[in-house]
Amino acid sequence: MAVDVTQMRKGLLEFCVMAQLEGEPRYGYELVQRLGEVDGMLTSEGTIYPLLARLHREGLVAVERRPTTSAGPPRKYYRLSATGHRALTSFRREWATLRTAIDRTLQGGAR
Amino acid sequence: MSAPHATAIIEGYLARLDLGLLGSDPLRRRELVEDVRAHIAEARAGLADETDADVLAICDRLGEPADLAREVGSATAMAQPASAPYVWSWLEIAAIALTVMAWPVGAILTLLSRVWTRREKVIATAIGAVTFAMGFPLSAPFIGPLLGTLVPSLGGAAPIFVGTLGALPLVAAAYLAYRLTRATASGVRFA
Repeated sequence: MAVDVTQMRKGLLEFCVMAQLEGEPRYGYELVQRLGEVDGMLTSEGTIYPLLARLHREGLVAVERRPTTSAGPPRKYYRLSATGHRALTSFRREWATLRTAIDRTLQGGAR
Repeated sequence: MSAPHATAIIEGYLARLDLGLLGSDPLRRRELVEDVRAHIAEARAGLADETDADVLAICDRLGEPADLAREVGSATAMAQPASAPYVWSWLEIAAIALTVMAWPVGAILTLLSRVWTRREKVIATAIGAVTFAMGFPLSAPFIGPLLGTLVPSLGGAAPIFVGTLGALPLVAAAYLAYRLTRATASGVRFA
């Protein structure tokens, strides 16, 4: 039986997106390309846009429009807000604990 | 190489996305359509030698418009389970009309629709493609139906052959319309 990890992936994706915005602001397509380099991270590229909009509404990321070098419309750049930084730090700590616990449980079940 | 139907493919995709967002917050709806439009423009800008297949692949990688709309959590999307019957709309009407008037565009719209099954799409596209492949250039579907009525009256076997070819897009459109009414009867609703 195939395991449906869609919901789990969706829940974790937002923190992966936030982690990508930690160092410097990035625009949507750039984020899609970076996350696309990791196999299995983005099942459909478009889902990142509703996710970014929600992170923005929740104050976890800030949006800034910057003109492009080409003649196109300005790009929307996303950067992690102070609230976003705190949420990401907290998640990293929780994730490390959870990952260890799950690994131990799964390995224990196999014995 | 070029992508002559890029605009039809992209606008068809964005129209389906916009339709899926019916009932959601207007600002969120506009924002998502704009974000996806910008994504498509960025992806196209990265292509050195663009074809229709490339543009279709960009839309394919974005995912099903209905799934994206559901992510927004709109009232419509929330109310509709993943297996909800697809509501047919202007896309299907345009697909039928353009199958007769501008076959390649009609065929693309037919392929983009979710109302017809894969089998129905293949049958309709194959019928329309015969006329297109047998020497009727891009503009011929406009004059095809006209030839279909005029040429046989001139007599002889060749005009009948040409007339039959010209009428094939009409047959494809009639088939699509017939299948659409069948789909409606079995529970697919009009928007």
